[in-house]
Amino acid sequence: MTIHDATNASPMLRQIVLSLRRVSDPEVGLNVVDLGLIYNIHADEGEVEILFTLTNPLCPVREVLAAGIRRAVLGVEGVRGCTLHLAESPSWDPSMISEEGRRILSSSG
Amino acid sequence: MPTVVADVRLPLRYFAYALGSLAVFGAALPFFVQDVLMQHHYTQRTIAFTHLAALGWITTAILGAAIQLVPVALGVPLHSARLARWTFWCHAIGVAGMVYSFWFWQLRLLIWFGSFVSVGLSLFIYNMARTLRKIPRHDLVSVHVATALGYLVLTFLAGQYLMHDKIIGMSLFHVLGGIHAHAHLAVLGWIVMMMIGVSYRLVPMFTLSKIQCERRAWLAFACLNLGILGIFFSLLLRKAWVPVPGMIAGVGLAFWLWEIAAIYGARQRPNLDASLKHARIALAHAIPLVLIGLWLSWPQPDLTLWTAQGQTSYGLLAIMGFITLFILAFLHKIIPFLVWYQVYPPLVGLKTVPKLTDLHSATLERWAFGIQLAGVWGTAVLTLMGAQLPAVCLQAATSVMALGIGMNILNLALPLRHLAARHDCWLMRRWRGDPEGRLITAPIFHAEERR
Repeated sequence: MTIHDATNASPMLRQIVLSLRRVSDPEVGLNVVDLGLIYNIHADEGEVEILFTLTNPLCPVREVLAAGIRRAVLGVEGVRGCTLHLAESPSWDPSMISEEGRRILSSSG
Repeated sequence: MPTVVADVRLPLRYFAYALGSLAVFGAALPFFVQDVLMQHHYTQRTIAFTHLAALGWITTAILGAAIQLVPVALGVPLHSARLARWTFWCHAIGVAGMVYSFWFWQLRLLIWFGSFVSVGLSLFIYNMARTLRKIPRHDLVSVHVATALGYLVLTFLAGQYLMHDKIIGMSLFHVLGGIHAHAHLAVLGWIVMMMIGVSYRLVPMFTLSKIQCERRAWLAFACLNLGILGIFFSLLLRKAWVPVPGMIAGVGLAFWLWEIAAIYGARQRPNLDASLKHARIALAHAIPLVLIGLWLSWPQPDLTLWTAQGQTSYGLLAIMGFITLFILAFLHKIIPFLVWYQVYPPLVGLKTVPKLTDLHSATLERWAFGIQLAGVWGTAVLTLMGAQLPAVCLQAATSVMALGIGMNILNLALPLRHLAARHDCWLMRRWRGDPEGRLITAPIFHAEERR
């Protein structure tokens, strides 16, 4: 199951993915899920761990995105804690953008 | 690692001063076309306008962008925000005074205000040098920034020599040779070198691409440096071999443009926004500029009316075409980002927040660019014809350019409405479009209430 398609996941995971779609890169205009920045979500009895990356290691909004991801996850009912891990590899590649993300990028400037 | 300079008002202050200088330049030029564009460029008014553009607009904008972008581009914090504040005040006072001194040809006054600019730029160079020292491993970007700073020092020293030569009369070099050498050092060495370095970070970041060929970028760097130094000395000494380093610098610029084109071509962002398209068009100006520069530098028996007017047209196209359009395109990225960063981070993850392109008008940006581009080229072409045409033609062209400048400045001010959301007064609510003055959006208030 890719992060983009969480239809077979548990209700909490689906809710987390939905909540993460509120976190967008302000320059690109795509949310972190469709941008392919969320590598993995692990939820265990209310404790959530997110493995994520950035489009660019020197991205000027990396702290904002990290805080936004945490805020979005903590806002989901049943989540008691959230730990973020910044992935060192694989580095982000534009091929990780979802189909929906590509459609949005193609239709906008 | 740093993300944004702690106080975003600091770079905004620089940009406000820079855009104010550009506004003065654009608004005043139509009234002085006969003095500035229709005769030889070695006049006090032409020099005043040139320094208003080069120091007041371009250098101030680069200083402001540098204190924000250089730490982000290099991955190290700015050495001192306090030094950056002192730099601003020294530079702002000094530049205004220098332009006034040139305008009224008050050379003794020029020394005083030139000293303010000297102190400001020295503080900036020190601040950047201390920042660069923190980098564990230098790369393409940091080397270009460091080299640009070196050329800034040389430009400043050359300017000091010219100023003192005028007052004391040292007469080591020919006056025009000194001025042309100083101008090329400033434009190619300081401004263009900085543009190149920053472009290698910003263009891939915004287009979702990456550097395609580092070897090509380093070749560009090497050719450009050889060319700049060769142009400087051959202009200063008024030697006939200026076209040779000119062609080497042209090759360097060609390699750079090739790399930028490759970065654009390899992008994963299918549709470019207006700013990125405009930046691309601005960069393309380098091609005609190199050709015009080579034509002007070709050994000729006498200075003709065409070459004299050609020099003015060349300078105008370089400053108002190539450099100004490029900086304006990226200010349409930088200013919205700074405002967004000041207002919206507490809301990310809680609600949908605007993206950067929502903070200003893309339509106004396109119209402003188009009108300004038309004005710049119209002015450049008509300047070439000089006194053969009535002054009203140049006044019309420069007025079109001024209109484009005004529209750009208006568009760059639009994001500031979001800063004003912090201040909940009736006037600000009306400005946000609520006819009854009710509170529509006050993101800072909502964030504070949630806390």
